[in-house]
Order: sequence, then structure tokens, then C-alpha cells
Amino acid sequence: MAQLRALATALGTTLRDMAPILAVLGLFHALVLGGVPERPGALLLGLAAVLVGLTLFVRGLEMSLFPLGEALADAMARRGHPVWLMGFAFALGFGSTAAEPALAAVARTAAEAMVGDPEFPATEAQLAAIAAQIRYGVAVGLGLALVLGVWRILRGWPLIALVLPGYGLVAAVAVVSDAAFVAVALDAGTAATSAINIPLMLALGIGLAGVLRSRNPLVDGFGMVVLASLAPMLLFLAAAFLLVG
Amino acid sequence: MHELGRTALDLAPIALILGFFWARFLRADRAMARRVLVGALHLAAGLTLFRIGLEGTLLPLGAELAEALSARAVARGDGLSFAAVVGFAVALGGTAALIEPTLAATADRVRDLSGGAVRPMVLRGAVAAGIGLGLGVGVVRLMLGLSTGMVLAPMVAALAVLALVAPRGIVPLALDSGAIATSVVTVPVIAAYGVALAGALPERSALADGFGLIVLAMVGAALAVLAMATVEARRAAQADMQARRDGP
Repeated sequence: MAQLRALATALGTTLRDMAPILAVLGLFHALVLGGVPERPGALLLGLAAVLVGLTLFVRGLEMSLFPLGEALADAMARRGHPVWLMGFAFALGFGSTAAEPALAAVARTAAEAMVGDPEFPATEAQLAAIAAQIRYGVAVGLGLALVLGVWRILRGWPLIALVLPGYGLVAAVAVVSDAAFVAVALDAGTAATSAINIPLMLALGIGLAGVLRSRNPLVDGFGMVVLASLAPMLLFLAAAFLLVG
Repeated sequence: MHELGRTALDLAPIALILGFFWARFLRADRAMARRVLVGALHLAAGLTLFRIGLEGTLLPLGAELAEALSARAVARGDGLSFAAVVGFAVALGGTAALIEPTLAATADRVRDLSGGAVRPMVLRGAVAAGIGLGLGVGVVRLMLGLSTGMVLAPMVAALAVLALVAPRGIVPLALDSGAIATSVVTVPVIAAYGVALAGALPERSALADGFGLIVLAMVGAALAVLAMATVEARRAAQADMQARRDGP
């Protein structure tokens, strides 16, 4: 009974979160297209799937990935050597991105944008090879970015000193060049960060900062995700210069 | 079925890695194992259902509206129609961020870590405003035909300034929040919007012009959280001064 009530409360919270986007879509639909959306039954069913899916997903995060990630970071920082922590960070970054379908799709688009230049004709096989190189390059880069994130928390480096040069470099390249692959690289930041690995990166940072006495988890625990999203941007740009020139 | 496969592919390598490190570092704990397993099932079922629902409802609806709005703006050519395209982008981006599950879970965690000082809806509201504004800037750029760099560079400069002015403790959370909020909802919503818009405007290619919106949304969210924290800190400092002046 108590569990049912908790579920009803959670569904109500999700419904409250969904109300604004439904209002925006409904309002613009009425103003621009007018009338009732096509297939209202299917639409309602789809919205119910979003509602239930969202509620289950947030609950699942709070039950599994957050506590497990924090417990692991805590145990490793207390009992293990920092090398284990960094190994975990690398495995997390590499393992969660190498198989990521979204990254594979963006790597493919980037490869096409790179060889789209008529002066640089490429065969289908070359295209696939470039896409694979980008994909594994990003996976390794993401692993290294998380190792850097762990190192930063251990040493107490300010995050902004790492992030600002990264964004600055990306912005500078975007000012100088508006080639298609630069545009793809700009949005590649989110290709490697997923709904599964973002909570784990957060848990790793928060768990680690929670163990260290001079660190505040709320302040020092964050920063892993932004490093993880900068890594693919910079690597896509690097790949464009290395592979295509 | 396709969605379930995608979710499984997302989870499998992570499950292996977590399993290995769990066996190496954590003591066998049946209660925790059970909880994590039940949570993982919630997670997989939720993500699958959510993706199915999103692809059948919010994504096509948003893309259809973006196409209709931009086609009307191109046909009429008046300022009001173009303003409607931008307004829809801001509203859609902001409200999509409000249902981003990773952001919702993170905001709850931040509330617990701060002992209730950071209210989840305030953080999520600031992030949503930033995502909406970043997307709006991106859409204006797309319509005016400016390069992404021309708008990204000033935003990064603003980020540098605000990071110096804002309370130091908020900077990592603010920088992370943009990346956290661009996940399973906002990324497909923004991508669908960009492709629809670039397709409807003349002389724009979906490849060169449909991209570049997400990075602006990300930096926009970081800017908004920094700005919110700065304003709150100023207000708190002023209230403090006032209290001291009123005191004995």
C-alpha cells in the first residue's frame, strides 16, 4: 500500500514536470496547425509511455547507479590505491562509449563531413575506417578525460582552469572555420555522454570528493561530466586535422 | 524491440565493469545487490518505455511544428513570424530540459548534498532557462546565417567572466549542469528541431547548419546557473548588510 502511494506520488511529480512541455506543444499546435492532432489515441498512449518510463528511470537511477557508483568510489578511495580509481574511471569512460550507438552515428556523420570535400575523394572502406578511428579515439579520450577528472579532485585543481581552455579552443576553431566537420564536432560533446554514464560519472566524483577530508562533494564532486563532454569535441577536431589535414 | 536492444547495448558494458569492480572492492551484501538489481530493472524498463514514447510523440510533434512555423515565416517574411520560430525554440528547449531524467535525478542529489539549501526546482528552472536561451540564440544565428563561432566565442567569454564573479562553490556544478541536461530528451528534441528548421530555410544545409545548436544550449545552461547563483549571492549579501544596519 505504501509502495503504491509512493508510486502515485512519483507519477504525479513526473506529470507536473511534463505539464510545461505539453502546454507549449498544445498551444503552438492550436495556434499554428489548428484542430486536433492526428491519431489522438496513439498520442495519448505514447505520452503515457513517456510518463511511466520517466518515473521508472529516475527511480532506477536513485536505487542503483547513484548508490553503487558512490559506494565503489568510496571503497576504492579508502582501501585501494589511486591507480584503481583511475582504472575504474578509464574503464567507465571507455566501456560506456565504445559501444554507444549515438557515438557511432555521429562518428559516421563526421567522417562523411570530412571527406565531403570534392578534393578529397574517399571510398566506402576508407569512410568506415575513419569512422571507426574516430569512435575508438573518442572512447579512449573519454576514458582519459575521466582519469583527468579524478586526478583533478585528488589534487584540488580548479575545474575552470581545465574547462575554459577547452571551450576557448573549440570556439576559436569555430570562429576560424565553418567547415561541416567543425559543426559536427561542436555537437559531438553529447554523443558520448548518455543517460547511463552521466549518473555514474557524477557518482564517481561525488563519492571520491566525499571521502577526502578537505573536499566538499557539492563543490569538488562535480566536473566529471563537462570534461567528458569536452573530450569528444576536442578529439573530433583533432581527428579532422590529423586524418584530413 | 529495437529500443530494448539499444537499451541493452547501453547497459551491457557498464554492467560488466561495475560487476568486476564490485567483486573486487565491495563486500558481498545481499540487500544492496537486490536493491541495485531491482533498480537496474527499473532503469532498463524506464529508458525503453521512455524512448518509445518520445519517438512516437514529442519528437514528431516538435519537428512538425518547427517545419510549419519556419515555412510560414519564410512565406510571409515578416518579423512576427520569425519571432514565433525563435519563441517556439526557447519554449521547447526549456520545457524539454524540465523532463530530462538525468537532470531531475541530479537536482535531487544536489538537494541532499546541500542539506536542502539548493532547491531542485530552482536549479532545474535555471538550467531550463539557459537551455532555452542557448537554443534561441542558435536559431537566430541559423536564420541570420552567422557562423556558430560568432555566437559561441562571446558566450565562452561571458562564461569566463561569470565564473570569476560567481560564488566559487557553484562553478563546477554550473559547468556540469549543461552537459547533464543535454541527454536523452533535449538532444533528440534539439536535433529534430535543427534539421526541420535548416530544411525549411532556403540555402541552408542540414549538415552544416543543423549542427551547432546543442553546444550553445550547453554553454547557455552553464551561464544561466552561474548568473542565478551570482544574483542570489548578491541578494543574500545585501540582506545581510541590511540586517547589520538595522541591528543594535
